[in-house]
Amino acid sequence: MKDIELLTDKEMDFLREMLNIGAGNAAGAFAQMLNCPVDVKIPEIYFFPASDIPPFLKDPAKSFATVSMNMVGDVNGRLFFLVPAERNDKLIELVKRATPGHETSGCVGADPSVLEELGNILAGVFLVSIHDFCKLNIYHSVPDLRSDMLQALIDESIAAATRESSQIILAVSTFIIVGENIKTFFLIIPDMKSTKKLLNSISDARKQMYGN
Amino acid sequence: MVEANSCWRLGRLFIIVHCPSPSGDGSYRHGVLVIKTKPSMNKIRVGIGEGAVAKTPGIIIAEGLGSCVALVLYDIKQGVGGMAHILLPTSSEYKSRKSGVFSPYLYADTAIDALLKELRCQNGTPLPNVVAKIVGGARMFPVYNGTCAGIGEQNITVIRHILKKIFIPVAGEDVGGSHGRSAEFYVQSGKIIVTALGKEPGEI
Repeated sequence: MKDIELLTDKEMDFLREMLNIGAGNAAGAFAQMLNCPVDVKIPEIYFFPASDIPPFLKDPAKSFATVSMNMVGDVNGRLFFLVPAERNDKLIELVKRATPGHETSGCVGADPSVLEELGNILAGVFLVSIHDFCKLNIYHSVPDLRSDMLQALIDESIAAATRESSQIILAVSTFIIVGENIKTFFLIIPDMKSTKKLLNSISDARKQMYGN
Repeated sequence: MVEANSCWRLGRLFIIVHCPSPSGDGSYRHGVLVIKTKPSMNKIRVGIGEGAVAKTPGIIIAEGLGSCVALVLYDIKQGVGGMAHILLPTSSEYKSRKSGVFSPYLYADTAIDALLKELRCQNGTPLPNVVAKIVGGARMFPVYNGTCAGIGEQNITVIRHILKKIFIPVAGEDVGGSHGRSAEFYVQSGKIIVTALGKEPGEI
């Protein structure tokens, strides 16, 4: 099955290093934006073909909030920043408590744009990290915020990735915001032409940095 | 020569069968059959690209349907029904790629065939009065312009076209829109309870 591209163990470590730095930078940016202490655990990084995604979705009907964005540039595709809905509610509550001057939409309780801003920041730092490590210029488009069943939010992209034999990168990052653990999921889904380019760039960059 | 492997996952037994392609060109075909394993479990869950068949009083469920479609075929008198969790409209693109395991339930064109082969009367003959129901096929992101924009509608179109060609009527549907759904199908009555977040459950 030669068209399923894989990363070697060393390349996976390189990818982990890249995204770990990204997550660290995100924590710093979140802390600034939310005006409260933010830390992040070392992200778990997974890399697999689209067809292997269903086991990750342990509860495909669970309500999730997502910020979806398109990737354009050297790598094209789709990005998803996902948080379970009740954790998103918690996040909004934390933000309101920590920043009394923070603007709300005027509705009781929720300011949905918190997640959009966080998704925007996280996409930005991950892509900057990929740029710094792999010399790839990738930009993300205006974020689109939705809440619905987890699998329903991403199955169009799973369809595209299955059809195009794309590999998916999943970064599970737990942010600790004012002492509260918020587990987040970041999906990077390159399109068909971009998967190979991304993998080659990772491979080349790693060899350049480590010489083997 | 036909080879078979099996593995356990998520409480179900998967049997993966490899056999030489009938075209005789040296390529292989693969099929995946999912078997309900726990007799105490009434509900069978079908994930993306899976299919299942059950007799009365079985229940088959597909969850988190966005652009995916849950296609149900059943015959009430015979007390048997099946569901496929379909992701893509046609298998032609797989056949040219020949990579990965092929699941017939993943594609609308092969799913219907695969389900009908499994749905049989007690004596093994094809079901005389099969009807269909379809759930899903939403367009979750209206602004998304990627290669699978509108894939939900494409899935529905292909399914309707094939059912029409083989004279299977669509007895109920809950399709389209831009929201996720879960479908719970009761073989005995043929009814499907459709749930969506923030909405009252519906029945088709």
